Amino acid sequence: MTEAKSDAISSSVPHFPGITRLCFSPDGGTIYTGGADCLVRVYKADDPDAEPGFDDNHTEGVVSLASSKTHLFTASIDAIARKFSRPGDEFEGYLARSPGVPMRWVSVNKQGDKVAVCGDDLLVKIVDVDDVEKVAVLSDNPKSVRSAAWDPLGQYLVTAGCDGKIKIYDVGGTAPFNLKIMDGIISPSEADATTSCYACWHPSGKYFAVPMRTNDVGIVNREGWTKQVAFSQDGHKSPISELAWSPNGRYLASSADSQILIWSNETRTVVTKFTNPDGAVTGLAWSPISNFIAFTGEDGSFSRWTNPIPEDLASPFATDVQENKRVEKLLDDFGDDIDMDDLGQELDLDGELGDDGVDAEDDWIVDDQGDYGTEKKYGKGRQEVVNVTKAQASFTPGSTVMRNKKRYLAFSMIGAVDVSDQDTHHVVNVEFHDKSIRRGYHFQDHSKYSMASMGEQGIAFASSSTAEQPSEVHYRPYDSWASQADWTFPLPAGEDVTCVACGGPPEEAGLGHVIVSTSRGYVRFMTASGVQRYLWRIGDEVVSMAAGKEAVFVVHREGGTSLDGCQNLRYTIMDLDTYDVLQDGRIPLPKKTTITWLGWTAEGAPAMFDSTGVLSMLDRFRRPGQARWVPILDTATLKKEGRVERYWPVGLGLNNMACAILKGTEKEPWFPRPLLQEVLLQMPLLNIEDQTGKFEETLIRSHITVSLLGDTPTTVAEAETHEARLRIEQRLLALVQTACKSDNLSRALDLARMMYNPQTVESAAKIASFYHLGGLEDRIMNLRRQAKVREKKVERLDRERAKETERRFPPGHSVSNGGWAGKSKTDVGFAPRVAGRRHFDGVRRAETPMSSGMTGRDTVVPETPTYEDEMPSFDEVYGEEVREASPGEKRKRRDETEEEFTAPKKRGEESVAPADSVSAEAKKNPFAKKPAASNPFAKPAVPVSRNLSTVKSTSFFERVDDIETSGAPKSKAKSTKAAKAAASNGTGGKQTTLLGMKKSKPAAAPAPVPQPSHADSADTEVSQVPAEEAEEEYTETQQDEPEGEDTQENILVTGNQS
Amino acid sequence: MALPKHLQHGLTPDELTFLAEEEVISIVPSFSMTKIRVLSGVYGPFVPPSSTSVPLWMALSLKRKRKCRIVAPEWLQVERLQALLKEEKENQDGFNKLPRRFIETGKVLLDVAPDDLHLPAQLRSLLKDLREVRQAKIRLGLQSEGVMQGSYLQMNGLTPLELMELKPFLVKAMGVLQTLEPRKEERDGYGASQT
Repeated sequence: MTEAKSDAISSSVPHFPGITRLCFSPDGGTIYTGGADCLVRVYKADDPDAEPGFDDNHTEGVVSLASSKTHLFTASIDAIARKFSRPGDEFEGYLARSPGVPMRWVSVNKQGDKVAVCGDDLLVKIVDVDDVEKVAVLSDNPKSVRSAAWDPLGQYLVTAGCDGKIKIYDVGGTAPFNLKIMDGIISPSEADATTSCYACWHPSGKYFAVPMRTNDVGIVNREGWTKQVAFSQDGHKSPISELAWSPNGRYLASSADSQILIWSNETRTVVTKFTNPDGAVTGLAWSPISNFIAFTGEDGSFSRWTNPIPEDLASPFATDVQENKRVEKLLDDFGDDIDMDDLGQELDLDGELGDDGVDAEDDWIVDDQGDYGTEKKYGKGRQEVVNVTKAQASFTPGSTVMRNKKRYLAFSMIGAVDVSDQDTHHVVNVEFHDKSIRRGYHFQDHSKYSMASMGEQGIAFASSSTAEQPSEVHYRPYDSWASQADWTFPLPAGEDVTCVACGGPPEEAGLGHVIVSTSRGYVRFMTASGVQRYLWRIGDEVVSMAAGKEAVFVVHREGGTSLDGCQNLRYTIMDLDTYDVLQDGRIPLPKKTTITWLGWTAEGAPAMFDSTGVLSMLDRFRRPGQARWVPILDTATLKKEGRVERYWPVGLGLNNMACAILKGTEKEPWFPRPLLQEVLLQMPLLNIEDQTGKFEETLIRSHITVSLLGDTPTTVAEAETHEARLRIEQRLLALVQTACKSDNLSRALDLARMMYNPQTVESAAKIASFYHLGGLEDRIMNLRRQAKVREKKVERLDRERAKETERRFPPGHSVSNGGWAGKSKTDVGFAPRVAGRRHFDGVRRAETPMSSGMTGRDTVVPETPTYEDEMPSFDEVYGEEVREASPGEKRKRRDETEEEFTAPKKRGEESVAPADSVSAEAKKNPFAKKPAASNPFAKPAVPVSRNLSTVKSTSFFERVDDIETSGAPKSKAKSTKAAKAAASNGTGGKQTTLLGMKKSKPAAAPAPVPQPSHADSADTEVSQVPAEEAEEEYTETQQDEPEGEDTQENILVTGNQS
Repeated sequence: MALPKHLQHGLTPDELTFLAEEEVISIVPSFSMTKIRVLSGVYGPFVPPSSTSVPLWMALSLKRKRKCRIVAPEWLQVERLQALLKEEKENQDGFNKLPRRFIETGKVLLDVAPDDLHLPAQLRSLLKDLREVRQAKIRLGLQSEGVMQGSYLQMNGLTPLELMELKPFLVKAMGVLQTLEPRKEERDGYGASQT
């Protein structure tokens, strides 16, 4: 902020003391002033020394003036509004008269064809300039109206009344009508007050400024007519009188009493100010064409203020495009090309081919407006296209810009670091959200740190170099058992810190890390104690960095920005222990979008927030070449009608984003520290409003979580993964239920196809049966096998990944494969896939020819046949869920249980019957099982899995032999299948299915261990039977099978075969 | 109770405030703690900087110990109150639906945690305005005919505090008016004997 120099202002006193007003002609060449001495003075804007002309038609003081291209309008206390011709200054006649009460206000619209006149007669008249008889009257005011302001487009008229109400009229149509009344913004006033009260439209017509009763300047948006306090910081202390926008709307001048402030519209701060020594200012106007303000005082004085906006700031009158050009010229000063033909260039920019049309045609380059547009530049005799996409400056996440000598250096989920500028030094204040763990502190900082990053162990500060001192890095641990735990490194001359990040796990868990990027393209890695561990020459300009517990996320620019507004950013995720690059790639920012925040999600994935308000995370970032960005929240969808809000992220929780919600035009949080609000994450899916959309959204997010947890190299993650997977299946079940309810069968089937767990598929089938959807139930039951296969696939991938992880995180790390069923990593040994088996598998598995076609194509033989042992029991896992889903089943099942207890014998007879394979599944508790599987020492205690691995490790032929030697279990398996099919086909009624399921429970305890394994091995053998045998077997199966819908079809097929 | 007899019909503002303190409000704690069980339920866990809901009394007590920041209720904001006040003024025939204990909650929050509210002075005056507008309506309503005849007074949307404020006077006044009114049967009986 600067104080205006007194020599920039020249004053004269042309009028008697009293209200003195002025206006510019639209061409900026003439200034009209009017005062209490009944005169209107006419000044030439560019010639301050010339003697002014005058009009003396008024009989009392002139209190308002307005000028169009062809006329000057005045309002006078003598009850008459007059019009004069321009530039001849001839009196042309009366515009409007009031019955003996003063006229207070005239204003003309931009087209110059209509004038609004306000007077003490309580009326607002809209007078046609050419035919003053054509008048529209606004007569709905109980008190007199002080002013009326046209918007630049001529659509609206905004009046301010003595009763303190702002009224907005739509005057675009034939008859004006009131759109909105806004109360409580301006203060009530007297009609003859010396302070004015009017709305001042921004030249863009998007909003207008009003003097508020709180002595601030408010902004009212045309969209929704919402009000916000805009220009209040360090503002006026007394009621605001005059307002004037600069011609391009970049600045706003306001006056209160004798003080004039000029605000920047962009930063909403005072740019320059002036205190009129002659007393209160009663008129204020910007020249429409230059950096020049004229104002009048209550003492009748008229002052000119040349160049109110300092040279180093953006021009108050040039348009954005012109402004860019100016900056461009200043930047690359090629000497003689500065004096280029502005006019010609403007023509080019407007796309008009004027006098220099030929040239322009040759030189034409598609132009674009705004900050990022490409820009044409004239070099010496040749054309070059210069890239003006503003390169995003480097920043530390969570920092704000210095405003009013205060800023945040860091604002994170741990706490906040703010500095206040004390001129000679800074005071750094550190506060924590959790005051019970760490106590805040503050210290004097003579290095003037400009960056800070909060880690789990301490805070890293960094400063840029100045003339006196080099750039330096400073680290302070939160608390330390050692003395002298903080350290400072000055950087060599010519190397400046550009970004700093502090990461690592909490103190006890491992090394803390400080990562510093510098202007020489280095990234320096240090531990929390100051040991330098690594130095990386990244070369690119680092835009930002965020360090997590194990890795650092660096965003850097590859070369320059591109022509079309792309920032060209790339990211690199680097492990902090091994310095392996885990992932790198492009940052997918749309054009003209910048990145505003970086961080890590609660699950430990990199995340970023951009200027369009989209939060994205990097999915599968631990798998090389697999990473991709996924939007997990679009804050634009959260905005409420008529409210301007901005979301400033601070951190991420499990399912929410902690952020500061900023109201109005605020871009960054300010003091006092705002409370963090939690916004639920929500991927921008299509039908997110309805229930299914929400379910699908959570489903996708849980899939992402699962894949992420599966990749995480810790044992803790395993249990979490498992639970997360269960949750997914639960959600799928819920979705199946809603689909069944709404009779959307294909959707239900699709959802069932997405299930991994055969038991979930079974319960999906049960849901279908509950809704009496027999066909769907059958189809879902057919999917069961497929689910098993898919599950195997997941396991295989998991295992491969585990190997990969193991390779990358050798001994020290505890690795888990994150397997679905909690298999240990020793449980490997995959036989290579045999192409022929696929076909066989499909045929064999398929109970119906229809489904055989469906499943046979892209499924794989289950290589590990005893999967069922490893499955968590359905009842234990989903019992509650299903009961919730279908209350009827609860009752049914209870009946079943009773039945079982009354007739245990029957079950004994059916020891090979369908229930058994299920019973084996049912008795295993996944939670009990898991630790055993992950602990290699506990392994031998589980005979089944050993059995499995031996089976698996044997060669294909061995197993075939095995099967050939033992024919008996084969047929048993057949009958198992048959009975199962019968159950699922519904011939035996739903009861049978439930019986089959339920029986398993009590059976589990007495069943001898070999029993399930026997059943399993039978299954295994079946699946390994070579193709020739399969056919034979197939027919056998058909004969065994009882009658049912599907079986009938099968029999038909069988008939063909035989 | 040592209260004067006419006040014993209702609850005092203090008692009402006590009741209001049972209501739930969200806070941002500045300490971490697991869930706690109190008589009214289980609250927490307290994990800064995320917010959690606790009863108002707990919030106030924590605030006094500087252990939390209180998140202002949605209605306790200048814009919202201004809108409410305007509605209240425009709606001359009845009382607007307001948070049931807005006076008590507003007062304790302004007293204990003004630093957590945006523009507390303005909030205070707006709350006062709102209350005065409603009191004016009550006074007007008391002049309506039904009340003078001691029969009934409609007061939808009044908060308990306003009701309690009115009760001692109203109960007594209506009683007096009823005694002044000739009994119905008396009047009828008199009429019957006449004919």
